Amino acid sequence: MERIELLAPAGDFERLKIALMYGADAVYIGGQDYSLRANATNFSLDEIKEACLFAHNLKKRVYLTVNIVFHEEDLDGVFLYLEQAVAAGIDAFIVSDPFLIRYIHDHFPKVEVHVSTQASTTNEEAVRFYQDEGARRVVLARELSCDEIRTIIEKTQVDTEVFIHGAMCTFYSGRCVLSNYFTNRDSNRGGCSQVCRFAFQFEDQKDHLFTMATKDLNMSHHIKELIAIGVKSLKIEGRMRSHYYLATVLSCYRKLIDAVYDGTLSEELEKKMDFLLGRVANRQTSTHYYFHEADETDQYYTGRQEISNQDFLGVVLDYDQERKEVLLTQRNYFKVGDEVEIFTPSGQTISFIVSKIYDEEHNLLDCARHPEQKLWLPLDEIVPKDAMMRKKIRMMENGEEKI
Amino acid sequence: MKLLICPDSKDVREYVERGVDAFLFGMDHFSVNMLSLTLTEIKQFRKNYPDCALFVSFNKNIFPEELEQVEQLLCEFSHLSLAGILFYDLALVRLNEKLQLHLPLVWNQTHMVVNHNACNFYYDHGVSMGVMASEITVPEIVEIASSSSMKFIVPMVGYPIMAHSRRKLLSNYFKFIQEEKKKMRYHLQEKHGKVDLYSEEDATGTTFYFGSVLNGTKAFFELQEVIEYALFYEKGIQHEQFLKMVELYQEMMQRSSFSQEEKEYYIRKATDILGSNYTGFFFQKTIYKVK
Repeated sequence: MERIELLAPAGDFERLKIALMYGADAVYIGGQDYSLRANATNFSLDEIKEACLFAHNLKKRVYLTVNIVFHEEDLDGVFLYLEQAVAAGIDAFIVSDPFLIRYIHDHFPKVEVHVSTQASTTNEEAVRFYQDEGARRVVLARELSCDEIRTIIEKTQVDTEVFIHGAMCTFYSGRCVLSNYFTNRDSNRGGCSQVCRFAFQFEDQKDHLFTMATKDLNMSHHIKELIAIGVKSLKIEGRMRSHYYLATVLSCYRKLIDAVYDGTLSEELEKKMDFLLGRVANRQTSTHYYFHEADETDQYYTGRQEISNQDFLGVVLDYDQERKEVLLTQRNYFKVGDEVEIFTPSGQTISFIVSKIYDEEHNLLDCARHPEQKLWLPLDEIVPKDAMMRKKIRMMENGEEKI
Repeated sequence: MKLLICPDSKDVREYVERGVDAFLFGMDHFSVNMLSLTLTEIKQFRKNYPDCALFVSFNKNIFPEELEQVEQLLCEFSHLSLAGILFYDLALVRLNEKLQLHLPLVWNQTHMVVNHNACNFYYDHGVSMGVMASEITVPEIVEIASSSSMKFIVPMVGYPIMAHSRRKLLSNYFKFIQEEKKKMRYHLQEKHGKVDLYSEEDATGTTFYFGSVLNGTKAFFELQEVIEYALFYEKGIQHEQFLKMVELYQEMMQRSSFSQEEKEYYIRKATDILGSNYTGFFFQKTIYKVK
């Protein structure tokens, strides 16, 4: 049985490695041109090649976004770029400008074409249009309900991809150029300045703030339903998000997906994953259009509401089996006596109390103060490189510890 | 170049009396940002004004439950001799091909009509006309028009459309602050800046318009021989002002050449009528890499 794909963002090569190690089946990346995250680090052609080799060795896939809405000045060189990307080994292009679909289909038949959510595809006839042009997959608009997605899947033969987690656009993708008018940055070419998160006042009602900002999307309680209706790929938003965010979000959704197929999915697991996802998010979340018309509970109307925490403590660099110590690079303050846990790419979580902290020269410290400082911690269990350490996270329910 | 008027009233007599012979209305339930007509009203319009070109807009995103009605309407339209059917959703292109309706489709994906390759792509699908995006420059418009077989409509007067959401952003807001939503159209200002905008909500969602009215007169002289229609949106503009702009453009369209003094005269006159010299992106390129 073909399993649903978990598709992750990767803003650079390090993020790509994290995403694939922590459970993504495929990643989507941007090149240094033609991608809607023009101001992310993005990948050079050499890095795309390296990324493809890395992913293919793990039997995973790499999709390249070429999803800007092209202006005349952007057209020069695009066909050569496609050729070079194909030579680098990419598995699919994600495009929004329709003239590219047929071109890619005709010139590179072994490479899939995925229609970007930028095209805001909301019905089966539009999906069939893209199918006729040679698209293998359509990333559906985020404005669709679960029932509408089911209808489209039942009536078409194209693979469908939906967003399940991360930031949402307030407006239909492609139908918002607020950024152009407010900051002269072209949102449909990757320059979006997120004007939807600016604060406004009504001319005749200045005592209240108005924003158009939305809460983030979180579908952790509904993975089983999305698998059941036949969605082919579940997409995480956020090519510019941190390593820790990626690792946490992907490991949570990996566990949920595997649990659906293994028959071990429980409400408790969903709650636990939802809780972990909540800890790593900096905004509140909702299911937006999936189950009802988006309403006031899906919006922020009182200015920016972003919060952050210091859960993320460090990344594992090495493990010394003789000394039974783990080498970390520090990300946030912690001290001797703190309860922490290390979660690994394979989904294991090891909880322990920090008994000692040593610096790189093995001098004893009472706390870890400096970001990026290399530190040794005693730990009996072997942990792999790229595992991550965070504060021990406790989910409280009716005063009872659940995690 | 001819005038295409998107009026804010169903009564177009004043325009017809002034010689305007092309109008754009939305299709009831299937359009955003403009006044819409029912099918009956469209049929009546065709009877009342058989010599006028009528363009009907289907510029909302279509959802699965709406497709059947769209299909029925398109079949009806095949008997109405419409000058153009503006579409946003590609379902219309697919249905037009599938049902072999040969309708005069007009590509109107508001901010997407920005390169000639995409125009030629749609032209090959039987789409013979496009509405240029308002976020490109005059040289870009000229380049696209010269490289494509399509004919083009360019918005030249009206409040520029910046964004459209399926969300009921105004209703939701007033529900949140527990007050009644009293108006259809609200004027907003950026809290820490100078930019203002208008917001409107209807059954399709919420639309945001830029706060300054576009006055494309400065671009007219370079575009006159390049484009098919100059599109005027009346919404938000005083009717008398709008009529004066129509008269001014008709006067300009009678001529094929202008001295520099004459150009400056018309630009000044349009600015006086509209109270705006905002030229949008006609002479301003956007950027997207900020590093």
